[in-house]
This record gives sequence, structure tokens and C-alpha cells, in this order.
Amino acid sequence: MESKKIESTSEVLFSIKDLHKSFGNHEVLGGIDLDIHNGDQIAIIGPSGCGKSTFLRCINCMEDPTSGSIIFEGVDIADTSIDINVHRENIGMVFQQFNLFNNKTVIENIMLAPVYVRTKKLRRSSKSGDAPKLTKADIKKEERERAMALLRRIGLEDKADVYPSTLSGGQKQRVAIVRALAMNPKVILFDEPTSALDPEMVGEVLDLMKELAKEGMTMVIVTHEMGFAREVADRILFIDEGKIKEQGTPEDVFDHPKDPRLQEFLSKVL
Amino acid sequence: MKKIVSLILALTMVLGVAFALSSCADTEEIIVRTNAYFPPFEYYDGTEIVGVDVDIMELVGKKLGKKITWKDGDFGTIIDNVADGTMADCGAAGITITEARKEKVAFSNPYYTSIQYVIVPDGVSVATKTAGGVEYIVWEALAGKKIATQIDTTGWIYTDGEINATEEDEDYGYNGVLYGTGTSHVEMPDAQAAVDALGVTADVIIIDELPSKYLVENSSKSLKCYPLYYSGSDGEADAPVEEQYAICVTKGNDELLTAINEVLAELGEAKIQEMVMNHMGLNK
Amino acid sequence: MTFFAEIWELLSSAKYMSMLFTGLGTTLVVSLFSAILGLFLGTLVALVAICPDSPLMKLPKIICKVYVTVIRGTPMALQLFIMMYAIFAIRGFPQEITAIIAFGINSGAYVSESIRGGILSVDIGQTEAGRALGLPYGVTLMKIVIPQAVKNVIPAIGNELIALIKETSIVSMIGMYDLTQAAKVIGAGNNMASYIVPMSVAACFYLAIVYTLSFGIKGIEKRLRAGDRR
Repeated sequence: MESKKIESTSEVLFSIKDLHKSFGNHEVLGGIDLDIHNGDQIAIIGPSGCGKSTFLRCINCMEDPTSGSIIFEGVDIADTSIDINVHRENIGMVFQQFNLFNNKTVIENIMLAPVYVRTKKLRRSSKSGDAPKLTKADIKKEERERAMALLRRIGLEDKADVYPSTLSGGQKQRVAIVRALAMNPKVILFDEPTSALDPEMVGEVLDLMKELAKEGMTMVIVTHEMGFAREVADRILFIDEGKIKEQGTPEDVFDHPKDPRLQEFLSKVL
Repeated sequence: MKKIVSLILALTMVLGVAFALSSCADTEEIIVRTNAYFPPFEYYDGTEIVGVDVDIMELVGKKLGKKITWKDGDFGTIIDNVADGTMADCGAAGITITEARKEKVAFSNPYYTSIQYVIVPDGVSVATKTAGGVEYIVWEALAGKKIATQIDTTGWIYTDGEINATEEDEDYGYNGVLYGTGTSHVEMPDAQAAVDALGVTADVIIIDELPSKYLVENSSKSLKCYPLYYSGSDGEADAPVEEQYAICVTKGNDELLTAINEVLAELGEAKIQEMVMNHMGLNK
Repeated sequence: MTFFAEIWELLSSAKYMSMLFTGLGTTLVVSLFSAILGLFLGTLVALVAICPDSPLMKLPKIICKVYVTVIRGTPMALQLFIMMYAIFAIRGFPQEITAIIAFGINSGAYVSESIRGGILSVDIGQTEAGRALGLPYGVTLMKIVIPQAVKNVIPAIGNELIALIKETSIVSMIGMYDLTQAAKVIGAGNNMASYIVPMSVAACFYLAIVYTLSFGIKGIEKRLRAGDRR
């Protein structure tokens, strides 16, 4: 790789090595290497169809990589024989289309996965002989309180018991973000979180993301919002033709682009 | 909800199998196939199958000390069911003895001689002849008509033959009487459907004597019926289309066949005729 | 006698009405149990069909595909005949069970296609969101996808049930005393000696069943849709 490595002192969360992804004969990712450290805020930019979304979706194996490895907490999660679900509990994801569960109320959307995961662990521990300290009802009660706190944080506690179809786009995406937060993930992946929003709603979502960044949440964000990327990210990746063509601090990438494709791209979007 | 569904399913299966096993174990039972739309030989009275054949088989059951179970269904499936023997031991449905059927099943002695009849509704003109005080119709008189029959019955077999048989066809080797006369064959699932088809898709019906009389008697339509005769060749007299009914039994079931023949012999022609009249008369 | 007078003759005859109700009982029993069997089979087959490809699922998937193709590609009357006179040609085996199995298997093939379509019509994003939260495939399917699919599927299943009820009229072919058989018996020579009137009355019975059913289905649909105003 030609771009200079960025040194970080904190612990490596993801170590991605030579990641390839093909759909049929079409190679979308042509070998990507990347280390993501705890507390990193990485923005991925690039022209449409460059493979940036596919790369993001490979990180939590929503798309199985064709080859390469993704070491997350010491385990290669690209290996299809491992139980990916255990690892996904720690990797949040926010989608362009929000993907709130239509058949669940707002608060149920937030509670569903934490309650499921904790109940499963409870069942396991009771099987192994340890007396369970909590019942499922206790877990539900706790998670409901946590979910309410999260909703209060985004000012939507009055929407707790409505269905997502009644929310605005910005509200939906904020709920989707706290749904990911409810799992206490080590990292959150954002797949173009503002692309499907009306312009007046982009701000409220970006503000929430900025807050998370300030709190030190590890974030990987695929985005078209260059101003936001510059403000929030501590590292920018430029992906083109399935490869990382350039990476660096926002100043390096936006003010002193070296790669001619990056220069061309920036001239179009800025 | 899911539990209830699976419970119901499981129950159904268990009941079914239990039911099947219990009936399987019951060898003290004679299963008789029929087609219960052939009065007076078999017909439904409410939900019960009754008729001359039922009366006869009940006597057979009494003789052998076994229960008689009736199974209704398409006429055309009776011979195969009885030939196979697993689902039925015998067939009683006013079945005419034919060579083709004889190859598959064993027949009892004939217990009734029938002739084919033609049912003619008012408004359809068919030339009749009279000889020896009997007014009858010859096959030739039906040329150009739409003839309804019940599928798989002898009326259907004869009509099919007379319309379609050709000299070239190895199975026949002669031209049918109605061959090439523009006569068409309306094939109906049962006799009553044929009556309802009169004046709609059919002109006349060819069916056995007794059902024919029975249908004419009971129909709200204005119908007449006449015996169906073959024209005599070379100066011979015209002759009716005669056939004999018998009860068919799975080949090799001699105990049952013997019992049926004994019952038929004990009854005799007069007693059977009386049964016929009973069933004809009771329902008038 | 006019048509209406004959209808009245039928309706006012206790004997004829009891025959019709006996037949109605058979029709309802066969329809109900084969619908249950069909829903069960159909759901099972649909779940197998939408499972992600894996070596373990290969054989079940092939079996389900053959099942749906053969059953949908052949007439119900012939399936009933084959069931009755070949597969369940067991001495004394109750015809009701044969009929329920034959119709259940037939219905299952159609139901499976409806359910499969319903599941596929749920946005893939719903599955992805569940999977991204670490929920296993089965849990995502049961808690998120299927509840949404049910709403899309109810009208199609309703149609299938209606078709099933009417289709059961062919059990009279194998000699079962259902509504159609009752009408035929009432129309036989020893009774009314014409099929037209009893068949018309039986048709009204079928209409009444189907109407009641579609009323119920509309109600269920309404209740399910109450949750999501779009």
C-alpha cells in the first residue's frame, strides 16, 4: 500500500487482511487491508459503485468475503464455520433505509435484540447449573428502562409505543441508531445513514452521530457528506475500483489529495 | 396456536391409523362395491344404500355370518376394485356379464335378465315398430340422434360400438349400425344426469330396462321408454338387446361365490322378481 | 311444478334437509382438516424453500420442489383417485382420512407458494437489520419476517381455502356422502328425479359457507392491518 500508515496507540479492534469480494465474475473488492482501532472514527468516501458499501457490509459479514481475513477480537469472522451472531452482537449497523422492524413498536425495536441475547445467555447459565439471578421478565423490565433512556436521549420518548411507519425519516434513523446502541456495541457501522433522508432531516441525524463520536464510540461511516466526514472523522479512506486508493487525516485527504482519482472525485463533490 | 394445530394433526393421524387397523383386523366383514344410482338394484334412501342387490347381499352375509359393508363410487372403478381384492370382496351393481369383465373377476350365476331400453322425451320423434304386441325401437331408428348413456355401463359400451365400430378396426371387424350416420354419443356420469340432459344436450337415453322404467315413472319430464331391438337380418325377427346381471367376486374367493350362488338359487327367479317389484313399487 | 315450488318442496322436507346437512357435515369436516393439513405442509415447504442454500438442505429442497411441481401440475380429481385406489388402497381404510390427506397435500402445494411469495415480499432490509443485531436466521424469520409476511399472505390463503372447500365436491366421485352427493341423491329417481333443484340448493349452501369464510378472512385482515397505518 502506498498511503502512509497511521500509527495509533490504542488497541486494534479489527484487523482486515487482503479482503476480496466478487459477485459471480465481477470483482468488487480487490484486496483491502485495514486496521480499525478502538475509538477510531473512520469515514469511507468514494464514487458510486466503488465498493465502499460492499466493504462496510463485509466487515460484519452481511456479505461473506470471497477471500481474506477479518480478525475481530482475535477471531477470524470471515471464517464461515464460526457463529457469526455472537460477534455481530458487538458490531452495530445502521442502514441507509433505516430498516426498523415494521411489525414492532419503536421501543420493541430497541429492546428486541438485547432481550433476546440476554435471555439466551440466561438459559445457558441455568443449564450449566448456576442459579439464574434474573427472570425473563426482569430482563424485559430492565431493557425497557434502558430503551426509554435511549429514547429520552433523542427526545422521542413520546413515540415509544407507536409503530415506525408513523415516524419521519430523521426520527426513524435516530431510532435505528439507538437500536444499535442498545446492544452496547464495540463499533457501529453506518451505511450511508443520511442518503435516504429529506435535506431538512439530515442535520438531526448527523448531530446524533457527532455526539457519539465525541463520546469516543468507534465508528465506520460510509458517507457522501464531505463536510460531516471532515468534521467528525479522524481518518478518511478513499476507495475506488475496489481498493483503498488513499487514506489519511481529513486535512491530508481533503486539502492535499495525491491520488489523481481522489483529486477528480473531490473536484466533483466539493 | 401452533401447538393446537399440531395436536389436531397428530390426533387425526392417530385416529386414522387406529381406525384403519381396527377395520383391517375385522375379517368378519364383506366389502361390497357398488354405484348407488341404479334403482331398483341400488339407490340411496336418505343416506342409506338400499335395493335388490342390497337385499341379496344381506342374505349372503347372514349365510356366512359376516357383516356387509357397502362402498359407493364410480361404476367404472368397480371391476378393478373387485379384481384387486384389497378394497372390496365383491361388486353388486346390476353388473352385466361380459367377456372382458370375466377376464378380471369371477361372476356368480346370473340373477336377472335385462334388455336395453330407449328413453324418448315428448317432442323427439323416433320411429317405433310393433311385433307380438310389443312396441320397440330398432338401432337404425336412432340415426342422427344425440344418445346419452351412463359411462361404463353396457348401454354405453353398445352405443359406443354401434357408432364407432368399423370393418377396418380389428377389435370389431364390422361396421356399427350407426356408423357414419351423424349420431353422437353423450357420455354422462350417471343415469339421472342423463335425464337432466334430455332436451339440452341429449335427445334420447339408452339404459337398462328397470332403471329406464324407474326414471320414466319418477321424472317430472314427460318421457316414454321402449325396448331396444337389433333388426333381424335375412328375414329373421328383430330381437332385443339382452344381457344378464350377476354379482362379481374377486377371483379365488370361492367361499363367497358359492354362498352367493346358493342364495340366488334359494331365492329363485320368482322371489327376485318380487324384490324388484317391491323396490319399484315402494318408491312410486 | 315450478322451480320455486320445487325448491320449497325440498326446503320443507325434513328428510331432504337432513340429507343435505349430513352432506354438509362431511364437506365441512373434509375441508377443515385438509385446510389444517395444507397450512401445516405449506408452511413447512415454504420454510424449506426460502432457507439459504446449504448441502444439508439440498435434498429437502429438491423434494419440496418436486412435490409442488407434481401436485400443482396434475388435476385434483386424478390425485384423489390415485390416493383412493392406489396409495391408500388399504382394506377398510376410512375414506374421510384418504380424502383429507389428498386435499391437504393438494392444498399444501398451493399454500406453500403463497407463503413463499409472502415471505419474499417482505423487504430484505428487515432480515438484514435482524441479522446485523446478531439475531440468528430462524429468530429473525419467526419474530420479524413471518409476522409481516402473514399480512401479505392472508388474502391468498383465504382464496386457497375457498377453492379448497368447493373442490371437495369431487369426493362424491369416490362415493363419499358430501353436500354434492346429497344433492345427487335428492335428485335421484327415487326422490325428486331431477338434479336441477337440489343442485341449486346445494350451490346456495356452498355459497353460504364461502361467504361466511370470506367475511371472517376480511375481519382477520382488518385486525392485522390495524397496527400499521402507512
